[in-house]
This record gives sequence, structure tokens and C-alpha cells, in this order.
Amino acid sequence: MVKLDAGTVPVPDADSRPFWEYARKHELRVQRCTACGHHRFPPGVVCPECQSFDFEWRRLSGKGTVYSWEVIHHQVMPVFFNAGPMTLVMVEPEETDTVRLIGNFVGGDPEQVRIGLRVEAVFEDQTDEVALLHWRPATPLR
Amino acid sequence: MSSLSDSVFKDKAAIAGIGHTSFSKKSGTTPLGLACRAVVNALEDAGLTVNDVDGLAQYNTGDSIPAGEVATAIGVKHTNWMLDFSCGGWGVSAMVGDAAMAVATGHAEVVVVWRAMNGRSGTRLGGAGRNYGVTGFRQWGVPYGLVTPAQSYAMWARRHMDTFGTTSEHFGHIAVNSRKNAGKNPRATMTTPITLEDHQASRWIVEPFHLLDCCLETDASVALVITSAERARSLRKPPVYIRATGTASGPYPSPMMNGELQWRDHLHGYGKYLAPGLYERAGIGAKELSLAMIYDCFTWAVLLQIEDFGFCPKGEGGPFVADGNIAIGGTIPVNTNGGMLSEGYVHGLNHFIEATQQLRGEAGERQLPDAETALITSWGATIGSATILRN
Repeated sequence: MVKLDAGTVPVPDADSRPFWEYARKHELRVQRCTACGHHRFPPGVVCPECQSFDFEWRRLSGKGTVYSWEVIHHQVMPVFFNAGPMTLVMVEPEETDTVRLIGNFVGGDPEQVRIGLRVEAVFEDQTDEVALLHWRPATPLR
Repeated sequence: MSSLSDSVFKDKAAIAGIGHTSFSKKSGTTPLGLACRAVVNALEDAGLTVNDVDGLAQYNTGDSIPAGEVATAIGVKHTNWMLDFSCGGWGVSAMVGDAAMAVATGHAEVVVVWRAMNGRSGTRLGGAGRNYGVTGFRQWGVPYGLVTPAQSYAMWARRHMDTFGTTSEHFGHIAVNSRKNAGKNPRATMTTPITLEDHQASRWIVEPFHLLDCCLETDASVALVITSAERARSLRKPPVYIRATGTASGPYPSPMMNGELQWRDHLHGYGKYLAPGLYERAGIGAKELSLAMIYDCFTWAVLLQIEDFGFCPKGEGGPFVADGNIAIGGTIPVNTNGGMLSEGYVHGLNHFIEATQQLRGEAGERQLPDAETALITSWGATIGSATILRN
């Protein structure tokens, strides 16, 4: 995939740093409020459902379904200029519908992307700090 | 002037709660985190909860986060007023005063306002400034190529198409109608008529949006003079009265480029939360309006707002626009100036020029006979505002 530059590489902040540290270890984790169980994303300090400031980072399976998708033709970041049409998916993890994650669709025929397609997470190492989270068609159960 | 202030403003609003974080040289959290803590503390001080809040405002100098992000993070479910000020120290009381005006005039009940900043560890006013790179809400989309509004809204539009069978051709009808109207508008920058085939053949920007689904980019300025009804009647032109105004959002209204992630229901935008109260305050409904100036950053956004503001049932926007309903002479003429799709992009304020001309009878070739009222919408997908004007 594309090697990101300073204009595109994520810069972890105080809220997001743990997410990226887990991603670098190829773990998908999101915050779950320990007071009421609500999962939230992007990461933040407070629960939007009960306003508790207590939370844990829950590990997700990495499996989900496509909630929506698009194909970018007109790129605005130079690093993507030679990437060709780029299919992006927005994925709902199987554990909760209150979290959605955006990533590139990889490892499959873009023509097969549709709302409801089952996908699984794939990590792409970018820097010492950051691995990106992409999505490929889920492997069928044995 | 003072007697009006006496009757509508003086002592009509009050500070009921105060909250703050610790003051330090290194907060260890983001401006969003700081804002959340201070706002939650202030509500506790007031003996209120997030569920009581229906208005938010903040100010910053490019070193903080929009009100919509805090509304999302703390879980405000419905807003009637929201304002983001970009200003220096001069604007603090202005923000408080505007919040008070919203409350005093009955446009909001409980408003939280704040300033949140890492003024020592982050952007220092006395420093050279800092380039933070792809952080905050941008870090979840930009690394994957999702940077622009089109790339954010494409995710929304796909849901509408998948759910209701809305098509690219439906979007095209909006583009064709706007371009036709622009042909009669001396201000318009794009006046050559287009056909549906032209729309379909225009290059992909981000599927499902073609080039002709996207508004223009323009250099321009638009300005309005607003004064009292009495004063306006004494001036040169027929007054165009501001009948009603409103701002609203629903749950998780985090602004653009997080809106696709956090907003719950991509089949509706802010209009669902704004239209009912706005029409009630105006005493005018969708059926009575003479003109709809719909914020048209994208054809899809026009279609969504046509549904959300009650011109047709939810999900039927496609057939509605394909059947000639939005043409001059149709059920509800939309963007008689050609809109931002064909007149020019002045961020929505240019729609006020056209609406005023229509209601004054100055719209020349585009003049709607018997135009009496106009709706103007101002879109932010998850958050928006609107105005109803009358002559």
C-alpha cells in the first residue's frame, strides 16, 4: 500500500495514543465505558451515554460488516495521486453498532464491495508509532 | 434601541453554572478532553445534566475544537442553537451575549459556552505556532484518503441509494435544474445548459458523486444589512422580514469528516431536528412556501434537505426531483439562481441575495409570480440552520 507522508500520517494525541499503540501491535481496541458498557469511537475522555470518565480499552475480534463504501477517483493528497481509484469502506464491528471505522478495502475485488459485506481487519505497518487499519473480505468459517 | 433591549433582553438570561479544569502548563489531554471536563463540571454546578442542554458555543483562534465535537463527546442529543466563533479576546462577551440573546428570545433553553485550550503545551499565543499534522478528527480519515467533504458525504449518499433506490440520475435532475435557472441569472458563473447525459458523463470525483454533483469553488463576497423592521420600512427598498430562524442538530453531530463515523442515521440530516420547530415559529409550513433556497454543496445534499424539510416524504426525494417539482413553475422552485452548483459558491450566503430579490420583485427573468415567502437552508449535514423570510 501507500507509504504515508507528513501530510497524511496520523499523529496520535492524548486521546488516541492508546488506539495507535494497540494498532501497532495489530490489536483492534476501542474504548468501552466501564459504568454503562457503551462503546465509543473516536476515542475521548467521557462517555456520551452516561458521562462517566471511566473506561477500558476492549479488544475487538476484527470482524465486521460494511456499513457504507465509496470509491475515490479525485485525490487531493499528493501521496495518493498514483494510487488509482481507491475503495474505502466504513465498517461496523461485530461486537457493537455504536462504533464505525474507516479503512481501505484491500485483498479483494472492489467490485464485490456492498453494504452488508462481511470483512475482517488487516493492519498495515506505517511507522514506529502507527499501523493503519484496513479491511478485507472475511474468510468463511471452516 | 434601549427600550427594545429592555423588553427582550435585559435580565432575561442568567449564568446558572460554572465549571473548569485545573490550570497547568501541561494538561496531558486534548482541547476536546478539557472542554468535556469543564462543561460537565459546569452542568454539575448548575444541578443540570447533559439532557438539559440544547445550545452550545465556543470561541478559539484555530487552536481548539468546534462545538459540535463537544456536543457529540458528552452526549447532547438535540440542539436548538450552536455557534462557533473564530476570534480573539474581543469576542468573549460577544459569545456570552449571543448565547443570552438565544435564551432571551426563546431559541434555546440551556446553553453551555466554553473556551478550551492547551495554551502552554499546545498552541501558544506568544509562540511561533505549531503544525500538529493529522491529529484530532482528521486522523481517522485522512490516512485512508478521506479528506474532503465529498469524500465524507459519499458514505452518507450510498446509504440513501441502498435503502431507497435513489440513483445518480436523480442527483442529475437537480444539477440540470440548477444550471437551467443559472442561465437566467446575470451573476451566475456557469450558464451553459447541461443535460442528464452531460451529468452522467462528467468524471467521477468520488463514487457516487460525479463532477456535476459538486458545487463550484468561487472567489466572492456577499453581505447583508439587517436592521429593525421599523427602520427598514423607512429605507429605499421593500423590507424582506426575517420571519423565523433556527439551528439544530441531533445526537452525535460531530462535524464533517467525523460525521460519517459518529452520526447514527445517515438517511436524515440536521433538517429532521430543525424543520418542525422552525415551521412552528414561522407559522408557515412546507406547503405554503413560495421558494426554497437549499444549501447545495452537493446534489445529494439538496435531495436530503428536500425530504427533511417536508417537501416530500422521506425516501421519495429522487422521484420528486425527477418529476419537475423543483423547477420554476413547479410545486416548490428550488435555487432559482442556479445555486452553488451553477451561480457560485459563497458558502450559502449568496442564497440570501436571490431570496431577497425574489421577495422584493427584483428577480427579473427568474421572478416567481406572487413570491411571498422563502426558506433558506444552511447545511452542515449533522448540524444546520435555516431562515424563513417573507415580504
